[in-house]
Amino acid sequence: MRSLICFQFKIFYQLSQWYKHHFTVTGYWVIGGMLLALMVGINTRISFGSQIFAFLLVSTILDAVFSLYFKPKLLIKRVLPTFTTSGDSIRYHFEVENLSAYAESGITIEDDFGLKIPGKRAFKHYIDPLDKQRNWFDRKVGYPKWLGLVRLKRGADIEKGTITTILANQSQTVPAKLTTIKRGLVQFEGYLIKRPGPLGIFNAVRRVPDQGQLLVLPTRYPVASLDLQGQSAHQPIGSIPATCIMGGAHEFFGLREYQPGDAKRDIHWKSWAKTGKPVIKEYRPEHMVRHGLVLDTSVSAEFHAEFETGISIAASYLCTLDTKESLLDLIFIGTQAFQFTLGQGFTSSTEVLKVLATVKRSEPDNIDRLASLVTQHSDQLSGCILLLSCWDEKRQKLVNQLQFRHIKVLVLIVTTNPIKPQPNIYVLNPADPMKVLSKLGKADG
Amino acid sequence: MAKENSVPATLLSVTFLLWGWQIGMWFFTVIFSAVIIGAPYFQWRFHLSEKDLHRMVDITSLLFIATTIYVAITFPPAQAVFVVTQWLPVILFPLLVVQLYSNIKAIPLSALSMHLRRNKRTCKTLDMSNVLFIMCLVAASTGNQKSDYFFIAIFFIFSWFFWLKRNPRFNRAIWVLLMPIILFCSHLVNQEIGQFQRYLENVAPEWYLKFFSAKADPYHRSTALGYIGELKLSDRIMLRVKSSTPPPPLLRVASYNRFGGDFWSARTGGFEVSTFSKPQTTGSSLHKISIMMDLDDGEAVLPLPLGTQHIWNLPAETISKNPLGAVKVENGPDISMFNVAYDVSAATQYLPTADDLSVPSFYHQVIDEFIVKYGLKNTPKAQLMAKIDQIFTQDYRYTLNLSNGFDQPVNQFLSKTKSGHCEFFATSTVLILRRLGIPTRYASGFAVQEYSDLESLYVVRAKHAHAWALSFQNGHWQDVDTTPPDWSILDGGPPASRWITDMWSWLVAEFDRLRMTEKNNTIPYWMIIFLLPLTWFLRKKFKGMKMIPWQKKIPQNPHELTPLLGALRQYQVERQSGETLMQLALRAQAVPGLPEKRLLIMVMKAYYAFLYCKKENAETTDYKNLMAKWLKVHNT
Repeated sequence: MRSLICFQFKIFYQLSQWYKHHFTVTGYWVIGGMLLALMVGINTRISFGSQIFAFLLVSTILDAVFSLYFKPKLLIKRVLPTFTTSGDSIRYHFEVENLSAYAESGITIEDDFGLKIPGKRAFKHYIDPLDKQRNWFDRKVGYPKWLGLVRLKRGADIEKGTITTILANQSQTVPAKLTTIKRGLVQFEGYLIKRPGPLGIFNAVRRVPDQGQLLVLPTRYPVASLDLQGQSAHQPIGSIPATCIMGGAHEFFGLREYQPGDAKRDIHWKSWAKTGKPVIKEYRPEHMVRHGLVLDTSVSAEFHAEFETGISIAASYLCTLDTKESLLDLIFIGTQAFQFTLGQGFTSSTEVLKVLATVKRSEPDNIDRLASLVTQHSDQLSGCILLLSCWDEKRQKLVNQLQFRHIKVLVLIVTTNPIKPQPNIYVLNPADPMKVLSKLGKADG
Repeated sequence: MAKENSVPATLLSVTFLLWGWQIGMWFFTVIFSAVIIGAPYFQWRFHLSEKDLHRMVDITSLLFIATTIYVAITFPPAQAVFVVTQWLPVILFPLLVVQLYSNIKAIPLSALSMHLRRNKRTCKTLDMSNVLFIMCLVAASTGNQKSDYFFIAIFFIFSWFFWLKRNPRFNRAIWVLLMPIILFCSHLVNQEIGQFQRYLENVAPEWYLKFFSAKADPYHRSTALGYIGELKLSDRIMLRVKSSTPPPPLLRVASYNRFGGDFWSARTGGFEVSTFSKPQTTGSSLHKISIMMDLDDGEAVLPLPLGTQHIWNLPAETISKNPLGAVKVENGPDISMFNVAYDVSAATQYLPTADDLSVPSFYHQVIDEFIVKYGLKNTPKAQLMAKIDQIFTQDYRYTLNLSNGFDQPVNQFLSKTKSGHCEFFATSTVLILRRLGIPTRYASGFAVQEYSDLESLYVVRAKHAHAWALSFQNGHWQDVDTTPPDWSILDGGPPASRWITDMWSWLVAEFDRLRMTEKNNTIPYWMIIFLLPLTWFLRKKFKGMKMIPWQKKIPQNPHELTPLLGALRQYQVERQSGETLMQLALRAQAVPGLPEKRLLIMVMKAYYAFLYCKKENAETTDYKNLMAKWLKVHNT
């Protein structure tokens, strides 16, 4: 039954897309007028509606005939920014070159995302965020929900293209605008070139394939920086190699006699000159403040909104927490265990945001892998922010383990389920996380 | 919606003129056209808040709902659709006024529904000039003035509309060539639609005819003979009959003389104007009744008692009668309550013809067997009607659940099923009497049998539609109704909700009676019932609304350079959205045939200096001089 419904939605959607692309604004009015005229003119003896219907029908058909001869010779290049943030509107442009010997008037160039049809499983599990706002009929039929899913798969809304004229053998910049609606990659399949017929009713539409993509970073909330108040921890040699590259180096501890196997670069040449025997500079690893930002990706499909909010919170703190005097590790489980370090010459926050843009949900039982990864690195951590999607036994155990190791832990649980209040554990509603986050920043900061 | 997608004021006014011409609402047309044309000259605009706009939409919606309800209860369904459509331009006009005379330039779709208002999910707008343009044309089409001028008018209006919307990519000659082709093809398509309708009418079932042809057809009568299944009957009140004496049991709409197997038709000499101005007989045999009914678009075939001699209080332009007794009115009021005087004994009217004795050959055998079986041949004529009536009452059964099938249904009725509805009884009676040599016709109309205590008169419902025979005996036509008398009971009892519909129908009828008492064509006094609270409501709601000076539309291009940009457009150099003037000038450098390209750059530089350096006189004069110089070169 669900397959049949999805099939019907698909057909209807394709028809509506065809209608949307092939008719101009004038065309919409013409079709509306045609239908009204048909309604009142069905009896030709008592109304002249059939005359209006006939006139508009013939005009539309003849205008459509002209679309058959539309063969644009345009060279189009899409010029996009490197990345953008979810929810932002960006202005970009097409560089269009008219290769033909005549000007192209009234044309519109739009990006084409292709048909992003959701599967029946995705439709079943998708929770429509606007469900409560919809009327009974829409909720029952489910087509708006299905459309919402198509929009989500597309990842962005395109604004209607600007009508433009491109002179013969000339290049021109055609502006375009899109609004992203989710993080991740927005995939472009090509361009749609539209040109209305002589009557301005029917658009001739040509699809030009040209794949492209735009990286959309997660939305960020205006959070205040947190003071996790952890003590500096021992950082083993090799765990922070970039500090050496950047000149920070390990802490100088003293001099000692050369022993076979010591690196030549550690020889203290001045002391060798004074003493006449090789002397080696000895270092000891630096103690640094290092925080962890642990993202729980072990979320089932129905908690999509919770997961996305969690990512946005993680992105917000990655950009806000001070990494001048400390390090910040982002730890999560994706296709494998990941740990990215920010600060002290490590990865920049932009690069980590790019990673966060593509993070996907993992299997619900991956929480064990995450727990073991966090525990493994816990001796380097001074403080830790845990972004969890629920508060079950396994997650409670992980928090207890970290607290047992005297790591300052801040737990943020993104859920709609009520949880018993506990110190340093905050429950955030995915619909309005700022309600808690704003207080959190002020309280701690 | 962008302003360039609006319909220009002149075109919209012309469309309103067409509507006024077709519908005959010149009063509104003149006012509306003046309002539309006058908008650019009116230097003030109403400042409407979102709440004010919602109120205006609500008032329009209420107006639409009230009109729809009123029309639905006043007119038959097929006509009601037309009446509402004709009034739609008037109902929607306030929203166009909002768009023309306020700070709101297009009606947001979110304002049109409470649901969208709550959620505010859409930012799309509706341009009322387009809505009214389409609505006026469609409404005008329902006027049906029966002339070819309408087609010519819509051709010119749409040509104008499409000229404004045309794509400049195409040569104007193509557009000009296209229009006659559209005119010719659309004329052909229109004719084909008419042909298709005629084809449908020939093959379609009776419901089609009933729905689309509200008027009774005095020439042709399709029957449900041969229909299988249960016939559904309506409780809708069709007529009201007032009579001080017992009313006539049957009101005939039309009678027919030729039977075609499953339909009756009338072969007559057509309708002739008849005055019915005075009764031909006087005395105690002359009875008087009053009938109240709806006339579809002022036209109807009247349900009248046999022997109708005089009709009065019916302000119709034409009353005509055909030789079979059907009386038709044309150009009358929409609702009428007229008086009838009749004398059953004087119902000679037209004499019988050979058609009144013809029986299709395939019915001969079964009818002859019936006559022999019941010994009708030897029955005296005086007792014949009573005997046939007795046979049908005793041996035959009235039912609406039909199972006779399509193959010679009367044969099956008489010899096999012995059950059917009034059309079977009437048709069989006609055929039997004709075989016995008595001229007989088939009559259709209504049976008057229900007295309404609520209204103190007789009501005739759609379910009381009836068929019977008319036989010519003793020098005059007589009603012969052989349908078993229990037919009205077997039609099924009234539904539980009927008292509500009856009450509503009565209120509407009383309201109509009130309207009919209006003497003049001016605004009737009952309109005050609606106008007073509406005025009070509007005054209260819009009290304190401000008028603001109209800030004319800021031109998209700086007005100082408008002549230059207009000239550039001739070289197909149009300023794009977001393009600076200098970018435009640089782009124009590549355009072949453009004169003085360097001078163009200099104009722009001087204009920038004027705009941003804020120096007076010298630079201002400079860019103006330079522009004039460039335009001079361009013009030469």
